[in-house]
Amino acid sequence: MDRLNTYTCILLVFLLLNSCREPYYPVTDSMDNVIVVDGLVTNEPGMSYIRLLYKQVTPFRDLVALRNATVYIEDDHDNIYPFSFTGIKYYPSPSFRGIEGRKYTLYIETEDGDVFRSDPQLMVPAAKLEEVYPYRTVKEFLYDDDYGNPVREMVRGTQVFADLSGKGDEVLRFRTETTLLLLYNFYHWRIPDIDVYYRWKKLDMTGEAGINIPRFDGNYGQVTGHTLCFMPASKMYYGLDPEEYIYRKILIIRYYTLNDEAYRFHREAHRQMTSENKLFDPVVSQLPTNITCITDRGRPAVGFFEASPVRSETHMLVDQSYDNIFNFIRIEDLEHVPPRGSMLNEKPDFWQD
Amino acid sequence: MYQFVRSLTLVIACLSAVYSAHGKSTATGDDMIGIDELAVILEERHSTRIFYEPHWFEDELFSRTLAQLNPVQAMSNIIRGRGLTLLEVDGYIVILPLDITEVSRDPDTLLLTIGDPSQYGRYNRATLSGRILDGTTGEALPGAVIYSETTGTGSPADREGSFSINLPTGEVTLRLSFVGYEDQHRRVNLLGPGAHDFFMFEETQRIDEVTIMARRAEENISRTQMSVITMDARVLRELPSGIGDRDILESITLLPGIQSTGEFGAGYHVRGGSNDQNLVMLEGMPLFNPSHLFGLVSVVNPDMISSMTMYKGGIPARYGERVSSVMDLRMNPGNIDEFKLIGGIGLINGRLHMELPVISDVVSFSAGGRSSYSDWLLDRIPADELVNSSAGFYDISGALTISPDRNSSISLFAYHSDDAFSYGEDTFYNYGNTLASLRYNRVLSEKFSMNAAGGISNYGYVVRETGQVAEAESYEMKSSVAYRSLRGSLLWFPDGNHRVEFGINAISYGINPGNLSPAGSGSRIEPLQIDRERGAELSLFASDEFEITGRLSTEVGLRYTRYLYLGPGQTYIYDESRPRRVEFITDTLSFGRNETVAAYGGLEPRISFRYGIDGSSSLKASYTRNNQYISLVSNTAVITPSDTWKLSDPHLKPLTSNQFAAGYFRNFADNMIETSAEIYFRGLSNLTDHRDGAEIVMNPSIETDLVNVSGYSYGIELYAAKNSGRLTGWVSYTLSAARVRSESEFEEDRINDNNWFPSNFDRPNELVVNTGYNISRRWRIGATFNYYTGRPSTLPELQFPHGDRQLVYYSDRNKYRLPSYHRLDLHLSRHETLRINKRRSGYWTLSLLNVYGRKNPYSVFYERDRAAPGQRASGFNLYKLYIIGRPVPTLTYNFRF
Repeated sequence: MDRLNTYTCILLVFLLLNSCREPYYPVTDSMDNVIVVDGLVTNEPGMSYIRLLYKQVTPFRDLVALRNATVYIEDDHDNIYPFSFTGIKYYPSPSFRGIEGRKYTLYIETEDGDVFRSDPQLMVPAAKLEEVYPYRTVKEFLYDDDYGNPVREMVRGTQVFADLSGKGDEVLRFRTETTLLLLYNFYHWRIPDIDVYYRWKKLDMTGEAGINIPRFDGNYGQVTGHTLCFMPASKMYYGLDPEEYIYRKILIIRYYTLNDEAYRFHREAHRQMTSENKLFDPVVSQLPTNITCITDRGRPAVGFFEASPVRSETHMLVDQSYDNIFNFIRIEDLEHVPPRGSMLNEKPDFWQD
Repeated sequence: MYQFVRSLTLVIACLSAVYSAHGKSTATGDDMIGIDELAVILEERHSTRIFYEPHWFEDELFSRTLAQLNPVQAMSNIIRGRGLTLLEVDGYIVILPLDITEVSRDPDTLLLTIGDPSQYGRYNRATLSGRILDGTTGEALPGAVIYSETTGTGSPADREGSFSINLPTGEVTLRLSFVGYEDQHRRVNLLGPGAHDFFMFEETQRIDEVTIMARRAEENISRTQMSVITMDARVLRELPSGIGDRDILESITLLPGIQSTGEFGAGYHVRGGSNDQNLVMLEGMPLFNPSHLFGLVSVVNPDMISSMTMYKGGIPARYGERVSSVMDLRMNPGNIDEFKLIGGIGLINGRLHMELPVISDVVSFSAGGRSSYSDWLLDRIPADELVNSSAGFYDISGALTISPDRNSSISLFAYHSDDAFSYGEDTFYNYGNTLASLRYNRVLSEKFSMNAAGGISNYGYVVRETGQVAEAESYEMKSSVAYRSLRGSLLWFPDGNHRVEFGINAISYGINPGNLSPAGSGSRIEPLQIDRERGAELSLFASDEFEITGRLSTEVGLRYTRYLYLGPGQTYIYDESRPRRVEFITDTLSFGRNETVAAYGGLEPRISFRYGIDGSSSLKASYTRNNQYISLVSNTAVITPSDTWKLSDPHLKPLTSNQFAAGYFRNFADNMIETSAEIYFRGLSNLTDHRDGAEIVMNPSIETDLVNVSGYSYGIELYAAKNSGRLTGWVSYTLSAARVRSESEFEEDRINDNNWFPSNFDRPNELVVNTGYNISRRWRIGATFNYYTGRPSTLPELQFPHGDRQLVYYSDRNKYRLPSYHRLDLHLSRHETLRINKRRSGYWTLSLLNVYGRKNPYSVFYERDRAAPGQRASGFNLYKLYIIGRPVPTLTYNFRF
């Protein structure tokens, strides 16, 4: 019976625990010369960019930057806004500022003469962030350690939710990007004085929860309980040293209000990111594209050009257990704060006491 | 004649074995000995066995000198003048009373006279009806055939073992055939209409461990039906072992036109149809999920099944509900004469089945069950990922059969299966089937018999996620199907040439598509109940099977169904000028309880023809139209427990199938070799497919994630089998295609721009070679080789950055194929005993699955890189999942008491 046990155990492990899997490298169409478009224009100056890549035919078939294309945007009032190549895959426009209610069309003319055009994208009215609220919870994570071994860990922390509202009865669609601005200290004991370091860092906390998928509940214009992020309680998850102490947790929330096409694109992208069907076929989430080559209908293009208004708010977590206070309060915009930094014995001007 | 005598002899041998010559001795003197002692001496000297009833010679003594004669001479002397006769069978000597049968017979020719002698000369033709039964157990032998060698006509026994055959009056020779049983030749003097039950007996040596076809040798030629597969209890016992045990659903995938969903998958596709288009009925009740352990094992315990009939085309009018195939599984009613215990121990599960006569010849009971060992074994595996994991199943079944008289029977049947699977503390799945039915059969007269049945079939599953998501998002989700059915039918033999069946079937459907509730006090999940669905289906059917000429026969049938989708509930009205999406709802209609929300129906004609070219070949053709009002909504090609059943409603019309099939059937070498070639074409309308990224679970407006598609499939199925001899087996090859296309005018609802593309079940080439060789009467080796073209798959063609994420661009739907599937299995069996009168018997089967260790992909999936808390996954990797990627030995032991 022992032999049977051992044998059956091995088999069941094979059957049930992903042990019977291996990387799969199917031969598929090469999609040579495909253009990849990652374009975003917003109502905020300096935030609009077009990133263009294409797939080399030879020798490595890598995606590389599409250089020296002529890129511009045309709105439905016949205004044209050029975007210039900067050499790092981006065609930014520091001055472009979209206007809600207008439609924008992207044009790309490549060096080889092909012209790509997007479908006109309506910049819909921006949504409003009504409330941000925290909830203490425990979340389980499965990740690979430095040796590639799976680690399962229960993490105590804070789940952050938001309520948003739109205009009128239109279906509210949006996506969010959440950045955690961590303010923390380091104390250096230098008898008889103490050196205090005021440090900060920004962490992208969006995860895969950035897109809101509306459910039909009869209330089109409002969304409640949208998950923004999960913030672990322990500082070790933020890469802090034991001698460093978290002082404040501040969330910088950017939320983009989406039109129908942009919503479809981000929804499918979200489903791709969250689809993990280990035993069964994955749910195929094909990404729609709004880019077509108008000079060569057979030339493929993927990606999306998005025109969405964006708003940003900054909220600070207030956790005063002794007063039974646990909530967010809105503070001034801190988006301009550099990604990380440190000051000795002097508080930065954005420091929150 | 010889066959009959031999068979009759064998059953007497069984009955008298306990009283055989090894019993008591009554010798009282040196020169005079008792019958037992005489028999022992004769047996030892002449290496034979002598069977008789000791009480025939009770207290009598015989001269010891008789022992000097050969056994035949000695026993002939003894029985002279006693109303006994002597037969030699396979070297054995059997003493029988001359009036052993109920028949009126000529002592020399065993001529069976049927009919009223006073009516002699009145009829030119007459109908002979009756039943064909197992002579040992009394069980019906559905599929056994009675065949007139004089006229070349035949009739198969139905599910109850009943047959009816019209013959010219006078003397005819009948042959009774059934694979695994001795052929019987009976001379009959038919005077007029009459009834008679025939008994058949198993062969003394098993023929073929992997014989699938349970029918008489030339039945494939002579019956009107085509595209049908039958197995009887004996064949079911001898199915090849899979990974855990013998498996009916897995075994049928070795036959042409039937393909497995995946490795060991209990799901199967028939002629390009999906899983849910197959009706699997257990005692007349449908199984909504026929698989244990995610498809590794089917829920059908082979021990409890007495017969299986499967139609993949030319479906008789009495069956409806699904469009691709019907599998009718009948439970073993129990042994009316003696207690039997059957069981087996396999790799994954063990099973036990018992049959006992409660009141001899009147009430019998059978019950059985299976249980896996996997659950407690998982607990003992020292692996971190397995902590708190479990995977197990069980199923139990029971049947009570009451036969108050020879003409009627009442059967009560119940079945329950349960599966539970959990992975760590994250996810818990639980699903199960519960079935029950009550059936009443009665022979009303020589021309009429009736059948009435009612029952339920419930299926439900629960998914609970508590760990991997935040506690605030922990949830429990339930879904279920409730099916109720009442059915009545009459079988009528108006004259000898017609077999008419008509009846009515009423079905009630109730579906709970989903109920979401918070799991745990910390969950912030809002409870959500998707509107329940209710429907009713009423069917009327009639069919007639008859001969048009001596060579041309037909079965014509008509089924009419009326389906109602019933309230209470809400139905959304969508803007018809835009894609069907929640934001384009223009109105909401509410319906009260039992109010008709939508109604569908129609005629479903069925017709089959057979033209007998000669005694060894025939041509057949059939047309079948079916409607299906319930479908499985799934966005995977394999069965998952959380797939959702959905009724036809105002938005989703019933699925309709029209199938045409034709075939040429020819046997060679006195039916030892059987061949066939069937072609088919099937058109499907009102199929549904999912949109890209569809949400199937807990979707209150699921119609918005489904698109309407149409489809067709066609193919040719070639089959050649050798059914007897030391070497048996078959080769089958299927060349087929299955295509679908969306039909939407809206771009976002189009799949592949409304072009035809391969369906998920399109596997153009299928080759099966299944052979077995009897090394000796005890040992047998076998081999099974499968080859399938890989199934269609939608694969990523490009991974590209967007923002700070890596996204995937997929190909057109089903543009690619997974690698071809092929596998070789070897089997070696050893039977412990070959004696039919042995009380206990058993056999071992050692199998080596996937001999050359091919890693056949079961599915292909993407997996994100695992991100630590506070970090984002950087990309995906593509993996293929295979169930077994190396040779796997299995050992099973099966026993019978």
